[in-house]
Amino acid sequence: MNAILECHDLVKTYGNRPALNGVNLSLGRGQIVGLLGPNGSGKTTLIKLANDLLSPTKGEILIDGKRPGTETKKIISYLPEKTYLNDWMKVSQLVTFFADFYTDFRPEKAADMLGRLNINPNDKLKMLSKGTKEKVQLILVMSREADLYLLDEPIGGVDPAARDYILDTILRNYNENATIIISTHLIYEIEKILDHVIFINNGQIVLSTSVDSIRAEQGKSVDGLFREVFRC
Amino acid sequence: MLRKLLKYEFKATARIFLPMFGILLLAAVINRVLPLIIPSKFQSPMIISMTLYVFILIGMFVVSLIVILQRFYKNLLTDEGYLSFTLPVPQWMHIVSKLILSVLWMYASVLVAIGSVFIIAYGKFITQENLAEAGRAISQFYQLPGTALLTFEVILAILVSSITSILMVYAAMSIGHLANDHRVLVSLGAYLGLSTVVQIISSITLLIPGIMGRLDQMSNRMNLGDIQGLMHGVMWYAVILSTLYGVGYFFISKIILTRKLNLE
Repeated sequence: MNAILECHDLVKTYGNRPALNGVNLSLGRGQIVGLLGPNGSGKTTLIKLANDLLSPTKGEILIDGKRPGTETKKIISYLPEKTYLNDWMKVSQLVTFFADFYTDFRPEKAADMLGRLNINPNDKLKMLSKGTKEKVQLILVMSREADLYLLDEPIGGVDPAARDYILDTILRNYNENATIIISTHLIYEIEKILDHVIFINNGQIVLSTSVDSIRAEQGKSVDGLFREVFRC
Repeated sequence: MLRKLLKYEFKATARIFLPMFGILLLAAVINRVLPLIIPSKFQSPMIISMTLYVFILIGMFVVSLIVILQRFYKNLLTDEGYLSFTLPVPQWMHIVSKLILSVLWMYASVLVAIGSVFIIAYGKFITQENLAEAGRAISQFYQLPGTALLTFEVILAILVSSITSILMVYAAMSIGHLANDHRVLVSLGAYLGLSTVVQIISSITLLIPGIMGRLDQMSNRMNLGDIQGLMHGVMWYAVILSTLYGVGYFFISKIILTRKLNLE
């Protein structure tokens, strides 16, 4: 099977400032990938490029062998670091909205998760706290049966108890052919679920390897290696 | 997919427009009923309710304009854009769905406004005789040769120019999105810039040999046929030019939203 995500000499600059500087990458299916790097290292830019929210300055990025566009949006489930839901719909209307546009969306999954978190589907988004909105967003994203999940800082803004629930949700809701890319700088929290890690710094890939090989060959945890590589 | 976008665009806008229409019609009904229940020596309730009605009427058009701007800006160019632009839908469909609903609501507002005037004035200022007379005048008008075509041209020109004016606002907001900060201010500047450019281009097209020359000739010896020819000419000139601008604005927006998108 071909790679789910590939980058060839990918460059993205904002004005004169390079955000990604010649990224080459190939990720296979069926794994949970940590996209790890300090703030401003290019994580979000890479994810936005994969989502067609930005266009490359040079080089290319391919999703399932295709350039980002309508076809790739069908198979990517994306959780941005922003709250992207409008505030006038009810939670139940958002579920219908997702079901209308994404054929891989499973409303019963969403209903189940909403129930478990005591979120009332008849509440308007306006009434929900920021943390609850983020949970709704995660539930919507994880209720799809996508080939590629791109989760940008999914645990950044929530409390530790919710973190565990979110990671658990991610683990429970993906099938073995799907790939999940999680961008974060909170490595310790997600280390235990990762299969593969990518270290990114100053717009360049520093390391792309399996977690097992870090543990076996270097005898270190991902967190430990990260602290070593990115020592200030 | 366009149908689904239209459906949600309708839901997002109807929740503002429909209650607004309801309030305007209610205000009109109050104006109609008030004189029937209040003795005519008390003038002030009528004056107050009429003032209120006028304010609501003006308010409705202001709000319509704001909703048209805000739907494009908020749903595409702020955080909501993260969802809109990751739906499996080509970018141009977002522009088209918002445009269609904007045009429809604009005309619906005009119809509701006319309806409210009828509620207040029918049987008083607008009588059956008035209407019959107007009908006769209209049918006389259509007995003149070429007037049906002219009506068609006028309607077409109004339709095209309303579409183009909305697309111009979209283009200005898209251009504003190219800036790194002060995007609203830059959008405003872009709007003024586009207006200026359009005026310059329109003036230049008038210099094209033939157009002005014909106008000069016309003014010397005017008969009905000439005037009609002139009117048709002016109408088609306006329609074609406005269509070209509209197409230009559409592509400015489409290209920016496709290739230069940079959500904060």
